[in-house]
Amino acid sequence: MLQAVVEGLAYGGLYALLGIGFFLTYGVLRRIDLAYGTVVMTSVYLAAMIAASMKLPWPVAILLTFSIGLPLSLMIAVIAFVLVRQDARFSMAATLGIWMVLEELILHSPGRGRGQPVTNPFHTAMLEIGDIQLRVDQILILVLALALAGLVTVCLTHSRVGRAIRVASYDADVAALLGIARIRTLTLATLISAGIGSLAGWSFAMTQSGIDLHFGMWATVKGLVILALGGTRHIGFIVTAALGLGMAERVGSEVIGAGYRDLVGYGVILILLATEAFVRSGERNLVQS
Amino acid sequence: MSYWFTVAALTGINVLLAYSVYASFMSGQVSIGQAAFFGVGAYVGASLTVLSGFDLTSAVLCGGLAGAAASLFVGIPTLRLKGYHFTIATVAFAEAVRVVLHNIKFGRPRSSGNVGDQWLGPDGATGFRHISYLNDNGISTGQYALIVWTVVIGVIVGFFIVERSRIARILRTIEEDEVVARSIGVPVARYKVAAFVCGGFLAGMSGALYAHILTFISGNDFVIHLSTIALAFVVIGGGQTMWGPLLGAVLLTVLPEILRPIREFRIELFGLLIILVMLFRPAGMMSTSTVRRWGMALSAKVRTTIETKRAIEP
Repeated sequence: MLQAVVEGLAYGGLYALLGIGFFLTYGVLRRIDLAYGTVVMTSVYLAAMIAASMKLPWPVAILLTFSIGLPLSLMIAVIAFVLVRQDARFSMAATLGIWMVLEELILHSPGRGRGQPVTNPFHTAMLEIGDIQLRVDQILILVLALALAGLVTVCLTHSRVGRAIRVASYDADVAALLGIARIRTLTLATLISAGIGSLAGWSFAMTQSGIDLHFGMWATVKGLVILALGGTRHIGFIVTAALGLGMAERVGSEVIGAGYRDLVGYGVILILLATEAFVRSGERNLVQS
Repeated sequence: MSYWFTVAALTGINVLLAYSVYASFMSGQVSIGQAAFFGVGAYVGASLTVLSGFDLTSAVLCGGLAGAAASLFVGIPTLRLKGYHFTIATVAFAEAVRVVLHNIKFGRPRSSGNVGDQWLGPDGATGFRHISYLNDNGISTGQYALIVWTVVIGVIVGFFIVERSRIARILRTIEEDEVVARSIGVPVARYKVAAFVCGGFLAGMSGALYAHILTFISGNDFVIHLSTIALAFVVIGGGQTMWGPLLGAVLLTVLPEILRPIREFRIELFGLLIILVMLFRPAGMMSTSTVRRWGMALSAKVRTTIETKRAIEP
């Protein structure tokens, strides 16, 4: 069981990386972007496909992921959140359309949506602490996620750029009054969010030694679950929720079977959302009375 | 001809699914969980005819009730949530149901059948095979299409009545501004749950109808993509009027069948249409102003015809 807990925590690092990207998009940029996971999948998938066909080394493949993911994210942000801007529901629907288009384009690409190999330089490396065995790649991803979480927190709360991003996404008028170049600031935030997404996507593909079409939906669903568990106020809660989810899933699969592994996360989220709704309802009744 | 009857039946099922999204859309809630209610309805409806010997009508109604119960289960706690939290809750529920349907196994062994195909009922990842009610009872695809469209017409009439009632005005008020609705004494949560449960009932019914025409279903048929396609019917057709989901579902189901070369790119077309509609016509193809304009044009034409007839008659 201890092995399962530690493995779950290490796997939670991947969720944390994904959660940071979702936090920046949903929490900081205040965008309901249902295509986020699919964009991540598209960039990693295309990069893996090109790298495999041209036999490129893995560091080049990572650079390729960024060079596909960043412009793609920017294009989607312009379409769904700049051109479509009357209602958040319309923007959400537009991202849904983008999700469908991208996923089908991958399905009709030369790879046909089938798994593309991704090189894992730490494939066989294991770390042994007493009776517990851990994969080195997962440990590295966990460390990377924690470092990024710290960096993003410091950037958002203590740097001029971070504060400008928060103001620009919160209120366009205030941003203009403060002399913040809103478009440039939001573009930068979109690129950071897309970059972290690409990193998360590549990390996942690396641990699995490949990527296929299903990763897009999986990433979106998991990202939303982490967001619902951790909220959108503090990145620390996101990381905690991600690690907790990883651990709960791993332990859950030991207890109720691997087939129901995903049910643990969904069950937790439904219980938490229901509790939150009842708490809010109770608060409202208290105010009314 | 049988092929086109199947297309007609599937179109009717998609119309029901589109209306299931529209029911909660009327109160401003975007649900991506319809696939779950559809799947629950499909499994319950099929189980009842295959394992318990129910007739189709009872099985479809029970499928609808199962969908309604599932939507009540997720709706009561989560419809109080604001913003995208409700959408996330429906996503989580849909995925949870998919996992359960993918792993569930109950039923009984078949007396006949090949090796590995001797189970009657849901069989985990293998899926639910031998839903042969139509075949066993000599119901042709043409007759089945007629049954499906009878249900669809009943639902359309229901929505036609509701759209002209106080209920629709209240739901639209909630959609526009929940605070205003609450300030005039509207029990917002109750109306939202009622609309959502109606949507769940319709999705469950359509799922049961779907299972019987397909004869084979599996948990992976009810992934979130199904919910997004159902949402696309409403978004593209238009969410302001009851004619929007009908137009969206019919157009997006029949068009790929007629235009064979684009069939392979059906989903891209859906996605592209959603983006274009959101960019240039966010209210969808059929907005309230379009319906009003068409209604006025139609009544003017009828009036002119009557007046002309009267002038000609001695």
